[in-house]
Amino acid sequence: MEETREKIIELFKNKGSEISTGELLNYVYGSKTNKDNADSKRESAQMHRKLLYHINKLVENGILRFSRHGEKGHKFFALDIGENEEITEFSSKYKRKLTVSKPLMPLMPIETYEHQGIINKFETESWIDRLNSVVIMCKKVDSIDKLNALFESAISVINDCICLENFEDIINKNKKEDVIKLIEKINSECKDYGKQVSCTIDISKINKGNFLEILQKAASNETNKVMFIYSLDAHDVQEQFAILNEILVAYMKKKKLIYFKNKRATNSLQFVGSAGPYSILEKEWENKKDCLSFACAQSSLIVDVEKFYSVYGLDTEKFAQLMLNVSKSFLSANTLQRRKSKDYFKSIISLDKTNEKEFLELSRNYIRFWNYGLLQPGIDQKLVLNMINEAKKRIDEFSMAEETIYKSCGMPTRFKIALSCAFKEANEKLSSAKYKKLEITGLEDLYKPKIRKDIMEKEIASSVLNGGNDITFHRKGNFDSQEIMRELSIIINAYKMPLFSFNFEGSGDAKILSYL
Amino acid sequence: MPRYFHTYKMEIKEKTAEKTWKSILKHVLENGTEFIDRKNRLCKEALNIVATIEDTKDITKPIEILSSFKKWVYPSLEELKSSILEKEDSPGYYYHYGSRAFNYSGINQINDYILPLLKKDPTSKRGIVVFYGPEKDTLPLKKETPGMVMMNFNIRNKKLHATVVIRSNDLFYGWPCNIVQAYFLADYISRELNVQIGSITTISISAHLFEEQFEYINKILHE
Repeated sequence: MEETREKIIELFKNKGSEISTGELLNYVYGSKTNKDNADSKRESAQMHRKLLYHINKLVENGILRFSRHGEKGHKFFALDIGENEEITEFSSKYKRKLTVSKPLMPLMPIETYEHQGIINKFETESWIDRLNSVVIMCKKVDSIDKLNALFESAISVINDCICLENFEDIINKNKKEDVIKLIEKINSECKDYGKQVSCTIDISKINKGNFLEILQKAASNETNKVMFIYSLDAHDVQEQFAILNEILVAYMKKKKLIYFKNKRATNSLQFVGSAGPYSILEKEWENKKDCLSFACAQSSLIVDVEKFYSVYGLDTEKFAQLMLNVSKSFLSANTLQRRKSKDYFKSIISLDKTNEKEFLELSRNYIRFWNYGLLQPGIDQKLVLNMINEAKKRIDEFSMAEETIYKSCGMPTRFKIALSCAFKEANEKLSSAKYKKLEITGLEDLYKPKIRKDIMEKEIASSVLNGGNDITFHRKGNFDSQEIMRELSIIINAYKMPLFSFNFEGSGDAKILSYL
Repeated sequence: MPRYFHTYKMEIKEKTAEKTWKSILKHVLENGTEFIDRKNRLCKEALNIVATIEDTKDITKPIEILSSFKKWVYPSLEELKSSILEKEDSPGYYYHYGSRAFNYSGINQINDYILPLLKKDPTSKRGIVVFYGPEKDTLPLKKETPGMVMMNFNIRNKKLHATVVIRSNDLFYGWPCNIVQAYFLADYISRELNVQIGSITTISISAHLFEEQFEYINKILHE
């Protein structure tokens, strides 16, 4: 068999699921070229064409199939084989037989709901053999090179997001040029591979000198695959007034979405991927071991609640049954993941051998609700919340029973399910968004009964969605950073929302005050 | 006065796995002493229950019964088999019997000890495999430690008899699985030694049931 095609198949053998042309290019033709250089760009384009020629041959032979378009002209390909089917090729170079097979997707009691569009798997191709998200603890990383290596290992085992927790440590301990380069590189790879990165920054711990230039990169729309989540409480708004002002100004100028974690509402980790928000349970976060990296989420299923209404109505019992079936599906998926975890997640687990057993200790499976109707006219919101709460009880009972069974069988393992919201980007088949935007034009809006009621409803939803919930304030009209800081103080103090964001897209002129 | 003291012991011997299971369930349900465990669950417990299955033909029957309930999903036989025969440890499980039997800190207790021992001396009384390791399992903050502490293999009357010591044994969810795991390991050894499997005996030091299981146990016992 032709050597390039052998290498392509070899990568599918190692990684299974869906792979982008960017990733294949790096694997087949070695290290990445310097994209700033014109000659390198030309060389890269040549290699890309060469690679596509071989991929097309494999497509013609029925070994691969085109699966989707990615960003920057990249294409994604997947193995064109069914479960239990194998591709066997003889390797001329290594005198060995290459056998590639697709992980067997177990029979799951959600298939009818999938046909109805009520349930959608997040990233179907890699639903079992990749994790949704992995967290890297920057505090434990002693250099940018080490972080780079960890990032490279992590990106190959996830299908959504990597969280770089305590990113302020990287900012404070390294040269700003190096940090900017790192952000650019991470962003570029995320674009190539269709992934996302969340960097959490505690604003009370930032070294201002280094940060201000890095901030321009963070707020830039070019780095849209790297999200920054700023952790603060009301005290930080007061004490870090100058730095917070700079942050807001940078984001307002670019009209970029900005995320905040409310430290008053939670000490735990909160971040976002393209599927939706992620979090770690508060109690577990407090008691976690000092690991370098760990999994946060294993598999996600998205429930299109709007479609469920249209087929079954607001039937609490049917909804709870659906959630139970979803839980059983996670159990089947996790069983395969557990048994194959050394193969699937080897690249990242092997970097922290002393904590191998802890790698999956905080992870959960995610049920993500889309169009769950909390602000839909004509739908009783209490009933929707009751329906989700009833389902949550059943899910928790089932999860606990399974943990007891596995423990009793001498196979103690973790099986936890989190509830969260889904982002529109999570799946292209989702029904069109029917959420009412939470719009504010100024400080006085936060005191208006109607807006307060809307926020409180979202706050209640946040308490039910224990896997994380994102509440976006769509900021309208003209504004200045000082006023937004006052709004932030009120939101942080008055509401218990662990994660929220400000969207400046619809804003008019920004009155930007400089305090530095 | 509850019939409860630490030397309490019961021996049950039945022809089949199903009968043995039902007998021990009935015994603990009727005679076990109630107590509240650290997770605040009401339990019934009896100490030192010895149960012998004379014929292993229906070894998976208790699992079939458990799997017929829709409220939970019981692990598959394939997963149970890999839990005891798979040599590689897995990060997905807090501990793993297979790796402890076949690769305990580099020691293959089955292939490098039991098999040569019983091949050389079929009447040996030293055919022991240990799953519990003080260096790994006696750390005060250790979350999970093996329930099956050790297994013993004796060849008598040209049959391989297996005995498994279980320190903490949930008789409802756990015992059906433990006997199947013991069977899979005994089956592996018996094939290598070319002898038939004889009886399987479990010695459950803390044999217990939980309150939420009573309803299902009563169903099983009265069907």
